[in-house]
Amino acid sequence: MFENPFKSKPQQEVVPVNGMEQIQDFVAGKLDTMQSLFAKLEVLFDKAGENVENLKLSPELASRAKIVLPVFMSLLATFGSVDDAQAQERDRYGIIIKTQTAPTQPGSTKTMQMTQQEWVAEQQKQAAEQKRQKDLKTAQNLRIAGGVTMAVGTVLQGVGAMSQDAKTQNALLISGSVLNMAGTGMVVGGNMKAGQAGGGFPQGTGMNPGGRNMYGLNR
Amino acid sequence: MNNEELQALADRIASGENVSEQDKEQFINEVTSVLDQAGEEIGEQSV
Repeated sequence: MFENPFKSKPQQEVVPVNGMEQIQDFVAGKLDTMQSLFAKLEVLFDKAGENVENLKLSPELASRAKIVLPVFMSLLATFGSVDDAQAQERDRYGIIIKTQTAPTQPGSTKTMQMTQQEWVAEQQKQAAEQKRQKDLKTAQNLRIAGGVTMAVGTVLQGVGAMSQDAKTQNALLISGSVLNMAGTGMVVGGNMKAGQAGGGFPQGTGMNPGGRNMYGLNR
Repeated sequence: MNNEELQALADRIASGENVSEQDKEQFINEVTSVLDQAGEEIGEQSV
């Protein structure tokens, strides 16, 4: 039989407060008790699943369980939300402490805002440094490219010079060919001696047009 | 505390309004009592 240990205590004054604050304060002041009850509840749920009716309790106990356990579950949910909020705050501090060695005072909003501003300033500083490094690297690449371009230009100039030489050489080759042809002509012309006078070259042409042929004959 | 009084207490706790310190303590003890008794009954069924 359940007995209320507070039944004989005098009634306390009821002070209306904000509902959420009241519940959170209620939960925060009973953490050990709530955790102990939650552990007991877990044992029951392990055996009965999430439906309290599956526990097959006595009718009297089951009726009371149906009244208090749903509310208790909602309080546990509130307890969880409070814990999540605290965890988020810790995570925020964790990030700041991880990237910023400046001392922080947990729970101090002012200090946290200042730290966040410093953190943002540090991020901007790092971003500017990264951009400067990137620009420097780009400039180095441009200088290298410029040097390569100059080298290529020099090579092209060399190629141009070589081309000029090649042109000269080709011109010389052509000249040589012309000379060879001329020489051949000379040879052909030389063969004229085997020809008859007046043959071979047309009149007025030949090595000495209008002059004498190789036999000294006047035309 | 009968079931009607217990329901009224649970409703006050759930709403978070007009909850006295005694209500809080009483509700926690009700929950503790229910869970302890449930554990006993479940244990007896298991045996």
